[in-house]
Amino acid sequence: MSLSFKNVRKTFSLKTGDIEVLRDINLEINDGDFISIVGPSGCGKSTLLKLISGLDTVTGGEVIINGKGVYETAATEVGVIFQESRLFPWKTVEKNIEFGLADKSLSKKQKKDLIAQHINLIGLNGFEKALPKQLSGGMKQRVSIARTLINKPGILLLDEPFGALDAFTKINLQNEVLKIWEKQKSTMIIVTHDIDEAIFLGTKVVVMSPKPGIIQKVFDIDLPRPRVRTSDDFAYYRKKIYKEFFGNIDANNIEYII
Amino acid sequence: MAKIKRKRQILPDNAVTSVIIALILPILLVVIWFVGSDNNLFNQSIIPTSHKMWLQFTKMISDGSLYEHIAVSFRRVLIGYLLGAVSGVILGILTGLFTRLNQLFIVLIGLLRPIPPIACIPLFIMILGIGESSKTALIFIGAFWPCLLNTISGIHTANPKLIEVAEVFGKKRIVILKDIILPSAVPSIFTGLRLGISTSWSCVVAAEMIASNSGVGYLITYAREMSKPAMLFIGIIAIGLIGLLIDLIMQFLQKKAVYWENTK
Repeated sequence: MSLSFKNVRKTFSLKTGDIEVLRDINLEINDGDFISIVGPSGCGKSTLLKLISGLDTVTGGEVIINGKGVYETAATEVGVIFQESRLFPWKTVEKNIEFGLADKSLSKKQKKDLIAQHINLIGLNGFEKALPKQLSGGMKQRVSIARTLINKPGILLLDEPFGALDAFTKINLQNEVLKIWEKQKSTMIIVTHDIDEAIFLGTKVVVMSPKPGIIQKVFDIDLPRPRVRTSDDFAYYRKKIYKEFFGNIDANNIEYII
Repeated sequence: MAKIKRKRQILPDNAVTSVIIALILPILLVVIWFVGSDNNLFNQSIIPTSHKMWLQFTKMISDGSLYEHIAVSFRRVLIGYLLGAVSGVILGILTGLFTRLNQLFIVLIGLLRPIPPIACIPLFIMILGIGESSKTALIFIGAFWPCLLNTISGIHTANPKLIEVAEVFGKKRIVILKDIILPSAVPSIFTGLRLGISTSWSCVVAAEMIASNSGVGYLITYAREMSKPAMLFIGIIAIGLIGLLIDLIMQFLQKKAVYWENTK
């Protein structure tokens, strides 16, 4: 599915006055793109996703999904993965995934098969009846991915989905998300503050800056897949994006600023 | 490098050990009581000897009076509690869900809640007489408040992040209620149910002490009037034991109902 932002503005009204969160956002996203959005906290990148999922509304301008407005688009066309898995603690893995399933025309058998297929996809066979409290952080996030994918959304929004995971689990899940993207050819948009993750996944990397949130620059990542994080080409993009962020600040100080 | 001292354990860490440890103090108390009264260290006309206790106990068992009094109290609690708990939980869910209803009730709840149920006994007797209905009303009140208040707060504990998930999936309000808000409230509702039954049990004893001719509350008042300390103590111990038993059963049910939480 394609997606476009046309002169999108967003302000939050607080008691102390209005805060401009997003200003003049113009962005064209093509069907099958994998867009990485990076930026420091407070740049409005998560708000941008909420405008697509309908959890928040624009103050000005418009967001168009396949030629239609956000609220004319079926909720199941746009899937969201949050940073926390947000599973229902009282539901088993199976039931959590079933919660996502929107198609009511399916028979019981079809539903069951579909759920089994998605449990297989995330590699949690044998955990069908497990409760979230019995799963690790990575496993929980897999379940949450399955819960969203079961509707085959045309657009998948990932809001810092791997931010709370350890480095190994993170890389594993990044690879799995890529596989799903290549197979399902859906449009994916990931918000992250991890520049390596952004380059590894994205066909484009959108760099945002705060106060007010604007799109500072869009990079086309012209690297073959599978991408190698240690390659020189990868380092080339990493350098370019770091520079975009910090200008001429010494790279050693970057971590303090983030 | 400093060595980490490992805790030395005499008893293994399991259920049997914890039960044994939990029984030490009650048993010690009984031992002190019997040793003291049997050796005339305590006033025997107030603190009965072990022999008197045993005689009284076997007499009340064989003539069935102990069982009868307990059964009567139990039946009263059951009726009043079920009515109070069900209406408390239902009204709590409605009040928790609808802001307008909450606004309507908030002052009334604030005014009535601090009144101890026992303070209502004279009023209930005046309105409903000294029969069963005034006792049921009292137990009802005892169960009602904890169930109502804990249900309301339980409904409000639903995690907005989970509700957001349902919104992203375009779920209807009824699904949000059934799959998120109500399950979120279950732990708190159960706390209310547990508090409610222990208040109900205290209420039945109080009601029976004031106006009744049956039940464990009546038993202890009668024992005092007849100067039968052994009977009095048996009544008091029965009240304590039944209260404990009820709470253990409720704890067990709570664990079953809130299976997704890690409880110790």
